[in-house]
Amino acid sequence: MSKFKKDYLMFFLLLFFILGIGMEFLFSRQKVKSGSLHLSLPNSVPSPTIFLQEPTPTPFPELLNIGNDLKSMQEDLSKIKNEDIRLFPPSFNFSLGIK
Amino acid sequence: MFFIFLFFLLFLTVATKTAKAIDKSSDDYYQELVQKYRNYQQLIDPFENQRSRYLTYKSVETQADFLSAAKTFVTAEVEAITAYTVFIKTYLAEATQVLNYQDTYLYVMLDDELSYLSLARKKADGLSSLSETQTFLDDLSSHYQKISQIGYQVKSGVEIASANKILSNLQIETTKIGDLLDKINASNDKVYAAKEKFSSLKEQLPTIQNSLNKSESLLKNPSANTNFKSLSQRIRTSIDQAVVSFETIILGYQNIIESLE
Repeated sequence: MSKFKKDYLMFFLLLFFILGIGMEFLFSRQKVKSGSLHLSLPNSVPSPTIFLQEPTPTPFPELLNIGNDLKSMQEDLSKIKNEDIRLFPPSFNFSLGIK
Repeated sequence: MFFIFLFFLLFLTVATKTAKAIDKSSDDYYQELVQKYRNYQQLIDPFENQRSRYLTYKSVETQADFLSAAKTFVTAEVEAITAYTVFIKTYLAEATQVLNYQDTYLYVMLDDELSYLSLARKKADGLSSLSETQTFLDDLSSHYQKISQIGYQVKSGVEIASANKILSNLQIETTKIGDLLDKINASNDKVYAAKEKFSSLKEQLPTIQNSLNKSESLLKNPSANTNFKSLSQRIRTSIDQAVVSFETIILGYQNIIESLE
């Protein structure tokens, strides 16, 4: 590579580097601006209390698994419920019919 | 550089096409069979017309026309039989993957028949007389008998393997429900009823097992003159009975589970 080309390449790399820093600076300023709109709650306001509903206790958690297994078995069953007639060999004629 | 890029694109196209060909499912092969069989059926009328002309006039010209029509007809027949053979082979391969159903001798037999059909396809073009064509058809007929018998074997084998899979899953669930019922100490009428229902349902399992074992034994140990067409009908009857029992047991188990929730 000639020295002239190298210089050009270095110039563009430097230019992109400077542009990159400039863009980063601009975006970071915008982030600060939007962040400044955030309103903090006064200390006197109590934080809202969230009541979490506890799940209904199940005496036997394995019931759910068994129920799911039985459902998937019903799907397997539906596959053999109907006979696959595609497997029946089609009929062909093996005689010229001239005898 | 441009040519390397072009070569790369060409390679990609070929590789994609090859991958697609490998990935063909039994459904795809069934569609091919339907198309080939339709082609065959469309040739029946022209073949019969030429035969009628030949039988009426018995001239050299009508004989030549009939031979030509017969060759076209026979070629379409070989292609349709090949499509059926490929379809059942793929169906068997898919069942082997899903159900661990292993019958390698059926593969070997299907491969032998496919080799024969490949040669027959070439031979059909070179048929030069009506008598030679009839001999060719007699040979094709005996091979198709074998292929049909394999088709029924594949059908019954896959049905039994599917039912066995459901049965073994059902046995696992039976153990789970049995263990669960043993854990329940509550003494109320609902639990008593659930336990009683469970006992009566699980009693059906050995009966299904015996029926499936019998069917499997008949299929795997055939006698020299076993007709797989009629055997497959008998096996289907026992599969239908098993399906009814499976449905009863599954619904019963679901009822037990719901009552315990």
